[in-house]
Amino acid sequence: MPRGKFRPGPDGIVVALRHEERSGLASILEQFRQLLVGGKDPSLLRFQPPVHIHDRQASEEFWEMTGDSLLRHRLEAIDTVEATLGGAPLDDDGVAAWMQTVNSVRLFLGNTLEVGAATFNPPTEGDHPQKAARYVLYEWLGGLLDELVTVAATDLPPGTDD
Amino acid sequence: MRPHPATLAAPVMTSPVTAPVKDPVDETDRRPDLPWKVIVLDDPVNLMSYVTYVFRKLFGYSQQKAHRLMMQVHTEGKAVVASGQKEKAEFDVYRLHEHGLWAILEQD
Repeated sequence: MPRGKFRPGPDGIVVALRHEERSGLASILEQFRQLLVGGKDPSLLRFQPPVHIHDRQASEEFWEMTGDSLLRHRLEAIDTVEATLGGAPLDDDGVAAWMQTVNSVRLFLGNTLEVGAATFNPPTEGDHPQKAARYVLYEWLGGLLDELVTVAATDLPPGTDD
Repeated sequence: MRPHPATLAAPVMTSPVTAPVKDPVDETDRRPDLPWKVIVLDDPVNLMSYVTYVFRKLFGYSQQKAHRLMMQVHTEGKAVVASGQKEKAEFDVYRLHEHGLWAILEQD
């Protein structure tokens, strides 16, 4: 039976990645941090898309007011993930930081790989080795996020239908 | 899996996916007394399980309601997930983007 990468514990969810997974993820996080700080990659536009579809000026004003805060939050979340890679229990903020960071990297990769295009086919190592490696990472991050969601969802209150 | 070989830098930059943006509307068209809708757009990357989780966490919805809204986003391309005064709606949109979901605002 495969070992879970996130396990519920008495002090929070515990990250249980293998050594090579931790080191690989740490490398990816550092690259992602540099991309966010650089702010020049066109795929980063996915993180600040129009929020008023019919009003470009209102969208720009929204991101002028919130963009810096959101970037700061994303960088802090990366810091939290890095600090807990070794297995420190995750509190609610830690869980949120992991989810948002893993999902952000996945969004970036999915956008550069154009997974939403009608003509998209998963790249193969023979044809596009670099794209294939990024797609493997994209899929792995999806599995990681799904596992965390499954574990964390058990702690959510029942909620309402209203 | 071994994440080491992959790097985030793309050898060929691709065009980001963006929603069509029309010309700005006349400010006089705004109706301040009407509520604002928070709408989540479909996205080919976000996981269904994650989107459902985010709806439950942010809005306190039941699993059933969150799943129903997620499926509406997936099958119809969008769903209204909340509504209210502009400041609250803008805050909801901010939180949804914080979680990587693509949310927009529309006034009724």
